[in-house]
Amino acid sequence: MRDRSPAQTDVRHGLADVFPRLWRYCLTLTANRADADDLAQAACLRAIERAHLFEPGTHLDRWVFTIAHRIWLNELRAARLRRGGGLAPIEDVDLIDEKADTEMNFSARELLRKVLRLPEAQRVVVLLVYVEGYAYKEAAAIIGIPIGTVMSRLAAARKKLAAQDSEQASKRA
Amino acid sequence: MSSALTFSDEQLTAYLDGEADAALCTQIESALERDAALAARLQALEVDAAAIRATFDALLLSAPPAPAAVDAAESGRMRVSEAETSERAALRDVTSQDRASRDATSQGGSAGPSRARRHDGVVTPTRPVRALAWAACAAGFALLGGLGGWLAAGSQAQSWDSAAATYHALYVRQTLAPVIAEPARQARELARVSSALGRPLNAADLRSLKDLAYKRAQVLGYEGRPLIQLAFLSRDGVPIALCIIRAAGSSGSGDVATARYDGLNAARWSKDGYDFLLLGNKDAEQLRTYAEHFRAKL
Repeated sequence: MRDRSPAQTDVRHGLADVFPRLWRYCLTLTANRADADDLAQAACLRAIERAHLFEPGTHLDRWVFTIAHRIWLNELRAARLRRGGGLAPIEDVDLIDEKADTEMNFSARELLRKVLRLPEAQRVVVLLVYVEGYAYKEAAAIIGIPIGTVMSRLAAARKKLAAQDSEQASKRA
Repeated sequence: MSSALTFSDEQLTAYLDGEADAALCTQIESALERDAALAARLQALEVDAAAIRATFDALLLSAPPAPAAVDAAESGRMRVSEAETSERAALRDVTSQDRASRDATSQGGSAGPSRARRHDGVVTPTRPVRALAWAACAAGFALLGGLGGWLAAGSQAQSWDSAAATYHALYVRQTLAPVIAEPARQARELARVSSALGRPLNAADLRSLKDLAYKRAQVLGYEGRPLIQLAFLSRDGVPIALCIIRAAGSSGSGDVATARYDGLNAARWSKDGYDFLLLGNKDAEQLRTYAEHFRAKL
């Protein structure tokens, strides 16, 4: 087995740390647990292969998120459409690993479902900006779109989510 | 006279997200004073970002383990070139924390977003919070001493555990999420910190709980005694601290006891002349489980 280069070692160690967030990002992209697992794995392998391109001291998480996004767009997404799976809304029963003692109550699951049922473009920016906490500029760089597009997708997501909230509130009233 | 239609949904979203420039903020805020329709539009854009974040953070617990190709267990076999990599990584940690504290929007720095964000669905604007300034504490400032003094003004000085709890109450996910758990850096840091404490600490022991990612160690101080803080981040993003200090006078009980400091749960025990305190916003029984584990290992 070939000796690992220092760059690869760096990337491997960093990936172990970042992996849960990477997987969560992949779940948001794919809206499907099995595809998320595959995409996260593929992104890790690609990142290790390309470790020599990673600039030490820069942001590993953004770099691997970008890799995952590109694999999704250029490879896996098309394959899934061909499989006939479509990009159907996610079944939330697949999401939560029942064995992982997660205390997610009903309203939390509801919220998760709502966000993951947003159109792909919108839910990805919601994850990058509102969950991961990236600035507009950083999110734009990760998914390769203009900042203005990030803004309009967030505005659209906000409107949709807020509208669903008030719809529910009025039903209960 | 500006109307609610002067601002686009994108501009209002940027405003709510703390991404609007000062000029736009001023315009929106002064318009809000006069225009009820504008307030209604902002309301129509409100989302509970904190709830979204919490839900998605809980999702991290469902993540599968990292693939085998991502070798997290690598240790020991340090060649010269790997040592160089670790030096660079250590420098990166230090310089990134300095940069983070200087400018919350800097490009350089360790992994993670460059600033903390709040989008709590409140109509008033949020400004980027320089939460990463707290990362500068990792350089080992005797913050605890200073903080204890500030908080204790005009009253009895706090006990070490109470001061540690006060400090820990400031910790959020963003404090530790950007810290990369690079084994070589952790090993060097732990060697330094163990030496200050006068008690050996082993990184493998600190990484032995699947639920807690060991991040870093700091040397703090209390009344002239070194107080060690080992920082962890649980898989669902809760910061946990294990503080160790040489016992002054007679040590407390050897058994793990749970406690509460102003609403923060904790577990305490003593061993071999050292007092241990585990702090974190988890329920008492969960902390007790972690504590029993660490008490056996350390």
